Amino acid sequence: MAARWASMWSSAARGRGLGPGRGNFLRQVSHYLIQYATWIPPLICFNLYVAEVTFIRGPSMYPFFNPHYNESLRQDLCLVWKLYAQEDLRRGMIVVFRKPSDPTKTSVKRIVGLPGDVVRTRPPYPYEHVTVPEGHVWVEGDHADRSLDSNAYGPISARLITGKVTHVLAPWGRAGRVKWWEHPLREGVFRSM
Amino acid sequence: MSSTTLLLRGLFRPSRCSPFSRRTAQRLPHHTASSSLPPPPSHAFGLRRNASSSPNPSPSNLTTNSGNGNPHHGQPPSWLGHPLRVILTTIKFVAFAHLIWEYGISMAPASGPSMLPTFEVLGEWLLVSKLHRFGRGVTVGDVVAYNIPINDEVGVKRVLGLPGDYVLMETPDGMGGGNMIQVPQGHCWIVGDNLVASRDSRYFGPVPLALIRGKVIATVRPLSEFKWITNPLKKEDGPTED
Amino acid sequence: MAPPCPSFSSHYLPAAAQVGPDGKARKTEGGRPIDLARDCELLGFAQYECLVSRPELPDSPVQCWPVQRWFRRCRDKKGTFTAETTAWEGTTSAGSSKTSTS
Repeated sequence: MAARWASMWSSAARGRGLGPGRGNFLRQVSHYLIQYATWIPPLICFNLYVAEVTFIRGPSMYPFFNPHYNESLRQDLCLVWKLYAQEDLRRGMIVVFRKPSDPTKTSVKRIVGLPGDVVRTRPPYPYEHVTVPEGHVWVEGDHADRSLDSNAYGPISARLITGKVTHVLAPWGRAGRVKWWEHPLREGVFRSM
Repeated sequence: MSSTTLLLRGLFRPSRCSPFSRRTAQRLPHHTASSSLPPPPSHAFGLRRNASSSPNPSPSNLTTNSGNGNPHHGQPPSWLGHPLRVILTTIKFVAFAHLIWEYGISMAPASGPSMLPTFEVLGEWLLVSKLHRFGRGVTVGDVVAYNIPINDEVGVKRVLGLPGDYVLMETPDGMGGGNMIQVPQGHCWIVGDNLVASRDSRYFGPVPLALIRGKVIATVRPLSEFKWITNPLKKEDGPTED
Repeated sequence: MAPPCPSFSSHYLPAAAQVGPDGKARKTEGGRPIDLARDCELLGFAQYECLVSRPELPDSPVQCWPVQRWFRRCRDKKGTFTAETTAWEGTTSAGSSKTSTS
C-alpha cells in the first residue's frame, strides 16, 4: 500500500501519472513557489537598506519603549528606517546599531552625544568626562540603571548604526511617530555646536 | 546556449513560460515545421498514453495536451514581455546579485601606501571573501577590508589581534619597550604593513568586528596577474642574536 | 576607540596574559599559570617601513625595511589566544626565560 502511494506520489510529482489535471496542479504549485522565492532577495535588500519592522526587547529604553516590561511579556513593535542610517544623526534620536562587544547582536539606544561633545559619564565608565571622538556617538538607554550602553563600552562608531527608530506600530495605544526631538536632552552633555 | 535562452524565457515570461512551458517551447515548432524535427522520445509516448487514455495518441494530441491553445502561436515571439515585468525582473536580478556581492564575494580596487609592499600603491584589485564578514574565521595575520570607524571609507589592513589577544599599541621601537593592551571583546587590532604610512588601530584604537566587511583572499591586476593572499604568520625558531 | 581598556607596559605582559578578555583568570589544562616562553609556540611575520622615493611617479621605486613582529600562541581551556612578544622576544629578558626552559 505504502509502495503504491509512493509510486503514485512520485509519478504525480513528475506530473504525469494521475492525469493532466492533478499534474498541472502540482506543477502550478511548484511554479508559484518558485515565483515567490524570486522575491526573497529584493525583500532582504529592502529590509537591509530601506526599512524593517522589529520588536524592541528588554527594559533599557523604559519608559519610552516597553513601559510594562516588568508586568507583561508584550514587546513594542517598531519601524526602523534604514535609508541613510548613518547620516544626519542628532541628539535624542533613537538608533539601532550592532553591539560593539558582539557583532551578531543589535541594540537600541538614544544618542546622547555627538562628535566633539564632552559627556559627563555615569558609573561603570572609568573616567568622569569623555570627549566623543570624530565619527563616534555616545549612546545611552533611557532607563539608566537597566541599560548596557556607552557608559559600559565607550563611544560607538557611527558606522555601527544600522537604522533609526521612526515609528511605533504596536501596541495600538502608543502607535505613531517617534517624536525624538521632544525628548529632553540629557544633562551633563557639553555640546560642541 | 539553448538552455540559457530557455531559462531566460522562463525569467521574462514566468506566468506562461515557466518550467512546464519548456516542453511547449520544444514542441512548438512541431506545428510549424515538423519535418526537420526528430520524433519525440518513445518513453514520452508510453507515459502519455497511460495518462490521457486516448484511443489514438498522436504527436498532435501531445502538443495540445501540454500547451493548450498557445496564445503566442503565429505571433512574433515577444522576448521580453510587458515592460513592468522587465522592471520587476531587473529588480530581482539586481537584488540577488547584490546579496552575492555583499555576503559571498566581491572585488574592488584599492589604492594607497599603507599596505606596501604587500599591495602596490596603485592599480591593485582585491578579491574579498564576504563569508568572513564580522571577522568570522579570521585569524591573526589575515588581511581584512573594514569600515574605517572614524569616517565613511573602507580600509584594508592586517589583523594583529583578536578578542583576548595582547598587542603593542605603538610601532615596535626595537628597544624592548612600549605599551600593550588586551583587545576587548568583539574587537580586533589592525595595523597596515607599511608602518610609517598607515593610519590604523595605533591611531583609532581597536575596531569592532562588526565593521569587518571581509577577508582579502587574492589580488588581481586585470588581465595580467592573480595572486592568492596567504597568511604569513608561521612558526619560527626565534630571533637570531646579533 | 571604543571601550575603555587599560594599557600596560610590555614588561607586565606575562602577568597580564593570565587574565582573559572577560576579566577572569584564564584556566589551563594543568592548572598552572601560563608561561609565554614555555607553553606557547613562537610565531612571527614581518611588517615593513617603506619609503616611496618619488611619490609623484606612478611606478616610483619603493624601498622597504622589515620590522619583525613576534607572537606567542597559547592555549587555555577556552581555546587559543596570541600575545605579541615583539617587545621582549629579542631582548635579554626573553633570552633568559628561553634558556631556562632548555
